[in-house]
Amino acid sequence: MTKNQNTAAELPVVTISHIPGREISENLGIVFGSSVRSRSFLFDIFAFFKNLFGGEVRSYTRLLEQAQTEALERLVKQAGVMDADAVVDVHFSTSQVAYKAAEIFAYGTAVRLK
Amino acid sequence: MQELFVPGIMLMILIGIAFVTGRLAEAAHERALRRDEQLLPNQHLSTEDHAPEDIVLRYSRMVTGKVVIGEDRFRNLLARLRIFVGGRLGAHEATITRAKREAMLRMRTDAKGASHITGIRMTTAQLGRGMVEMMVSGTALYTDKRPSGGFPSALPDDGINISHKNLLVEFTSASAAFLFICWGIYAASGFAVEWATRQISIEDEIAIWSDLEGDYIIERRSDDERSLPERYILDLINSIPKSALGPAAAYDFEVVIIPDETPNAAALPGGLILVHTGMLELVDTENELLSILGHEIGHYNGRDHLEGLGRQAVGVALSAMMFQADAVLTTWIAGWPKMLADLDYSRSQELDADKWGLDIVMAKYGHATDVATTFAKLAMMQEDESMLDYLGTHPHPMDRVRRLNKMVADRNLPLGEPIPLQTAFERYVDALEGQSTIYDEYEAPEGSE
Repeated sequence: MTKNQNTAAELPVVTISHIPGREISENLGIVFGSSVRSRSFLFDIFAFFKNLFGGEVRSYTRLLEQAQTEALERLVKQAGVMDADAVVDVHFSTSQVAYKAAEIFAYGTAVRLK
Repeated sequence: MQELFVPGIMLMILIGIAFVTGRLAEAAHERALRRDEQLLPNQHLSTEDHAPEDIVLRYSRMVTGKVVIGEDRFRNLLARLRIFVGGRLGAHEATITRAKREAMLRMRTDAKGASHITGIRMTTAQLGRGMVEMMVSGTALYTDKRPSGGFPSALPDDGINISHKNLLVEFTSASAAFLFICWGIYAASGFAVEWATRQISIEDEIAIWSDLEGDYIIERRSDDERSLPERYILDLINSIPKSALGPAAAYDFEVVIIPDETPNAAALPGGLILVHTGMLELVDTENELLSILGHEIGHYNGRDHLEGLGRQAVGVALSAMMFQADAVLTTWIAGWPKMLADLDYSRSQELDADKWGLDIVMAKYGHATDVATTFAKLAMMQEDESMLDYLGTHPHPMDRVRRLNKMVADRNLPLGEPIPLQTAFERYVDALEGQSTIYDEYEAPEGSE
């Protein structure tokens, strides 16, 4: 199970339905990764002021970044368990599971390459 | 203290029940998912937008699967605590994974007989807090192949998407962090409130208070509307030399007697002093009564009545921020940091007020007899009550008695003859009778003498 330790860099993850220059031999099914995170109330207060005056809410951007990274990591890990070579057609979606907490999830198709 | 314990235990029981039922529901759902995922024939699932080339397509159809899962109260509470301190919501991740698997399962059931489902998309709705919604859609391809792909076509249940943390451990650490932060904010806000109350002038205070509690504060009643004992107490307060009152001299005092057996008195904003009939029964001499009234006036000098209000507002605002929907939780959680932060604080306030009381009695009578008598009586009464009261915000009455007596001794204050309350009151009524006719309408409230 060496592929378990795959990172995003080693295992190609793309949003198109093929890996350029390679041919897909086998479709292994759907894999997904998700992450639910929240910022503490302090950042909520900063965000409130940013809402008044406008501008990027950096702390929340960072929250999304962290959540997205983790979601992708988990997706790759799942693909590694399935012994996949790549994940194609990856899509992102979000949901608001709890007040002021965001879930980012990524899903795609795990494939084996020729 | 006691008022926090009873609802606290009730809340704990309810949360405990929610914890158990939530775990049972989760386990049942988990079992059902595992069973159904095994039962369904394997289909080729993919998110790709095109059909595979090695099949003969008979027809295709859009299929969907939807599910909404409600979270139990325990996880909700945990999530709220977690939102306050930030971080990963492990409890929700398990639910979300279950929702995805369930939605996927329903879509596959919808696509019965299809060998492939392509172009799968997942999306969520937002119906309400504490609910997890999941919608899955795709295109089912009915082909010449049988739906037995031989691949793990259900969503993998390997737990990668779930942070495996013990819920109870997470709950404990989250609540500890929450309480600590609350306490910190609350204590810090104490200084801010203290500063703010010193900036509010007495005129502003009266104006603000009569706006807020217009019905409660009496619009300057005339003498006819007060009962005779109330008039007596008010005139007693007004007869104190203004120089002894300190800043409180600016108040236009009002006295209301409340029919209540507990010996108590309170200073409300706007100069309204409440005296329970129980307190009037407890005191024997006018000097004792004035020591209590002086104590309440001392609270006005410390602006303690405003600080209490300000801190309460901070506590409620703080918890309302996190627990908007939960009135019971709000009041309960707000109670704790408030009590912890107020404990030390109030003791010094009470002792300051005692000092003012002593000064006022000295200014009025020229001697310090009976300044501590009522507190000694209260101490005797409290001795057979529960220990919980000792943890309350008021200092131990016996300490106050000792402190007052020590002050009298240190300053070498003279002692004199106290005036019995009965005699003083009768003298007051006689004097009134001599100058007006109000006495005819007088009916003494029960227990007022």
